Amino acid sequence: MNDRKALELLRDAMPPPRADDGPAADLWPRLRRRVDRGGNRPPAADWVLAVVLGVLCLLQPSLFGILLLHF
Amino acid sequence: MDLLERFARGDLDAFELLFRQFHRDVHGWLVRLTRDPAAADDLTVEVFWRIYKAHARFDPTRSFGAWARRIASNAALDHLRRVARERAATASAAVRTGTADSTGRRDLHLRVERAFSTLPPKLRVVAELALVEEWPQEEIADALGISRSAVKARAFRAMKYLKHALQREGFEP
Repeated sequence: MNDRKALELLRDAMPPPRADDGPAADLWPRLRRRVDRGGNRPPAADWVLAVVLGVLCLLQPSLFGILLLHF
Repeated sequence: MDLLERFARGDLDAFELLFRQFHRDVHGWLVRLTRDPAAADDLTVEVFWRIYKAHARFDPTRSFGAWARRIASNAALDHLRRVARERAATASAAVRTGTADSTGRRDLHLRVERAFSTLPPKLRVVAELALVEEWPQEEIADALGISRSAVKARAFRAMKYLKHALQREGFEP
């Protein structure tokens, strides 16, 4: 198959989509909820990790030195 | 202080104004790249969420629209990769409805669409813009944040890939 034939098939089967219609609904309320929910807080997993590391350092203070190597 | 500077400082009202001003462009861009208006709705929210999170990295002297479009391109690529993974996971259960001697026009279109959908996402978005919509390479490069030579190379690879995919769908070589 040559390029011309492939392009003909493609353009016949898949004309450019209608891209000017805009979203089905006002998306701002959804986005605003997400902003309010998420903010710029670190993910929950980061807090859990910080607590676990803190507890481990209390139980085994020598770990603190190893952690410092990562900074 | 102008709107872009207020946004870069994290002003939510400025962000809403920019959303109102640019969300239709971003949505249209996402429809073009994904061919899925429903997915484009969700992705528009995702894109502006990414934009909001990155406000501190935005340079107010640059174009907000071009920046938003590049973030949207990355979100569309993520979406297409996710869809491709899901399709691969269910491929064994899929039923091929097209045959080499199918004659219906609708069936022919479905086979072309199926061939197109197998393109790797990075090639697919370039194919959509370069082969289907016939955009100039310079504009595609700018919109996707890649070089013009990368656009040219991807369009070439997309065409090669597409021809193989069409042959797999039963079109004559």
